[in-house]
Amino acid sequence: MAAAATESHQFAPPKVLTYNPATTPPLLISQGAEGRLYKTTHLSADRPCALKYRPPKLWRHPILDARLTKTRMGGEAKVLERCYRAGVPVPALYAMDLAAGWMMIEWIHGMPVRQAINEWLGERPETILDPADQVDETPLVELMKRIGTVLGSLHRTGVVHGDLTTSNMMLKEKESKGNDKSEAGSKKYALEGDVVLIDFGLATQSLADEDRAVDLYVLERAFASTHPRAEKLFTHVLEAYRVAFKKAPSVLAKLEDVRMRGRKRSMVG
Amino acid sequence: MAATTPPAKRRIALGCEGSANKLGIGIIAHDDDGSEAIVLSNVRHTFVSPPGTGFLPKDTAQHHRAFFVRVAKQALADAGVPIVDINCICYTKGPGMGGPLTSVAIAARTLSLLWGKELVGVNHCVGHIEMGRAITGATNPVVLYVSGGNTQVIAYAEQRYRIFGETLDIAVGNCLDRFARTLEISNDPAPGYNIEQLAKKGGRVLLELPYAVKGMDCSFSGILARADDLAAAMKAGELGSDGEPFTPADLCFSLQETIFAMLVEITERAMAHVGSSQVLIVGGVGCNERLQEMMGGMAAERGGSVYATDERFCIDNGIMIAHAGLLAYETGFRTPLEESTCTQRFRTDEVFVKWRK
Amino acid sequence: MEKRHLFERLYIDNATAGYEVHTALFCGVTNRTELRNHLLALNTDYEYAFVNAERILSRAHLLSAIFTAMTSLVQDTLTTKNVHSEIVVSLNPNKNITEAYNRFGIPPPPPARKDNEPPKDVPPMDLIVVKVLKLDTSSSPEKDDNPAANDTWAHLLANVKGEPTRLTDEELERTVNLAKLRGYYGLNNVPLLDEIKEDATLRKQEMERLIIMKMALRAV
Repeated sequence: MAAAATESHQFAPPKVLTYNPATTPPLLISQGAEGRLYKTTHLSADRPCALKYRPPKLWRHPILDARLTKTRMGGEAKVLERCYRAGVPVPALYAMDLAAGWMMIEWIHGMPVRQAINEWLGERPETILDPADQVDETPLVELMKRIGTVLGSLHRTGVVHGDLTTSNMMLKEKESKGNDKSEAGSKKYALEGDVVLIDFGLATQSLADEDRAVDLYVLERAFASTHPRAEKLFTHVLEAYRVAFKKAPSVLAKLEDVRMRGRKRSMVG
Repeated sequence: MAATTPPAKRRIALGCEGSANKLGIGIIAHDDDGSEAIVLSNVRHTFVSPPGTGFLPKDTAQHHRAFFVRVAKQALADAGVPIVDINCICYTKGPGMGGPLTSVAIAARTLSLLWGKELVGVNHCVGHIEMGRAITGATNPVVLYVSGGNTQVIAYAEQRYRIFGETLDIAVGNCLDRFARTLEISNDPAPGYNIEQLAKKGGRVLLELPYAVKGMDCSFSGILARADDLAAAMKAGELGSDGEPFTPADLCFSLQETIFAMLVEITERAMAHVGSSQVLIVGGVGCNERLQEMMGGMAAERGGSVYATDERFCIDNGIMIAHAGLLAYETGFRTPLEESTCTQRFRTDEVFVKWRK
Repeated sequence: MEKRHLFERLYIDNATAGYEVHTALFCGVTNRTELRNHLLALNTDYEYAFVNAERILSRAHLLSAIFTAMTSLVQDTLTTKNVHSEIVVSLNPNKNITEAYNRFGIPPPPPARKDNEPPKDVPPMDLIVVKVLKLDTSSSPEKDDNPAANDTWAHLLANVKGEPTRLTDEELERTVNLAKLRGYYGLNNVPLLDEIKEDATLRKQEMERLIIMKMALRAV
């Protein structure tokens, strides 16, 4: 939810964004296979929100299209609510119109974890980070642990995300960083902040070790391909997960199996 | 054309395909600089089983054995090239039905020994992909491969055709074929073709069928079971959810709309994933105009385009085996006689694609 | 006009094109039964959303319901007879319309226990009024000069027997019944809330969010 798409609207925005000149004009942030993301406001200027819009797919039969939008967006909304009330850090749901294909969720100030890690790594010399080196106290290790803790709380709640990547996690800006705008300050706090999980479009409710292990495995693969220089630090995610989640041991045992038969998934990366 | 291209530098392959109910033999030529593939002949004979039945391996193998010589002679006559000019004999190594594959492999070996030509075993799916690329000119498309035996979403990366998504149970063509049997629709020229024609008369209602997409994978067995149930209900005179009677045409329409939407969706996911805007549809189901239309709509929304071939190349044929085999042959690939087996299971991503960068 | 400033015009982002929304709080309303009867009789002079102030946590809570109802109004997807009833049902976490009116509108008077017993006294209640007006196209949308709003206010002052008050979060903190809200929105035994021990502001903010989420999930 950080950088805005530089182009102005290539597509017509959803109707809900055209009724009223909102105090802040809507901004198209991204467009993916599943839909588009706008930044706008809910009720008033002091409630910035992300509007996820699934435009109708005109090539699909309209009845089928409406049915799919309804079940998928409805499913995502239900999962958000379930996570939020359990204290799992996810954006709050503000409003939803299943027939029109949009939902408004809390705007998370900050940047994707992927971007934060890459910016932080960009400042380091071109070496592979290794837990054996004296980098245990680096902010990156701390961030990995926070990710593991959050994943533990997610799985404890009975939800598997289905599409875990460092792009689907936000690093929520800390107040302290907001006050210190200097360059030194922004470096100092580069990896600080709470980890917030986003994009639950493929999430399901499950208590199965297998599903949880696959969830971790997908992240492990994505992490390795996105941040190859920090790949070895992924172990800190799993360690923190083990501490945070009582049922972690059996999930991590299953993760070994999943890795072994990762033949097909390994191509998906 | 022949006058400007020295015949010695032109390479020619004969391809034999019989992994399912089509027996196909084709002859292809690659010109000197490899920039063009010229179809010299493409002959096919299809084993058509009676309505309400599928083609069994034993009967199909028998058909292929009975027609091989006739089809091969026709292919040679159409091409008008002397046997001495042929560089290699290509055959389908798999995947497919064991009996029919073996019959054709034996025939290919026979030609190899008879004429003293080297053999090239070809992956059937790679044959479809390479032929589709050659005919349409799509350079680096996401490929949707849909046939009676296969349903895969494929993209090329680092010397392999990688499978991004596939069916978790039966193939989409198998689903259509079996539903045609349920409705006792004719298998001539193909059950899928007849379903498509019938579907054009439907559309008053969209009957609700399961929609089974998981990430980039999909599943069809649950849909078939539900469609069969609806067909039984229709025959028993039951009414649809809107209180009106429904017809076989409505069933075919609803089935096509549902399963093609799934196929287009997983293709779109793969396109977003690899950042491609080209789609190539290959395999027998790829002939379906409704599928092509839906895929075209999706590609257009993404600012891209869809590539498809007509029934000469979409449906199993010998020329695609000849073409893909010749591409491998040109990189030095050979299949020694003692290794010229075939296999029912042969994944697309097992093939090392040496001829692409 | 008398106390006209108490009749606040609401601006709701992404929702109020072509319409004006006005609101006020009436404290200690004594003629609730009469008002309810007007609603039941579909009296067109009483096209208001009357909302039980005891069941509203905050302005954002109420505004969320108005936003939802306004969206349905402009998209022509109202599930009830007009935008005013839609505001009331939008507050409920499920689709049960009768339940929504009883919970968030003017509740029915308590039933008499025996036939020969005189009807119980109906206690006064704090009532929020919301009025949606078509924007007068001849007037500027930027100015609060829609004459219909003045007429509406005059009608409310004449017919709602209570003390007109400006609708603020402070007033709502006084009127709200938290136990009721927790029951309606399933907020008992919520880990998120249970973990907040001290910070009352944070606690209220999280409660508000959970309530708004439940409302958004009404259609699922």
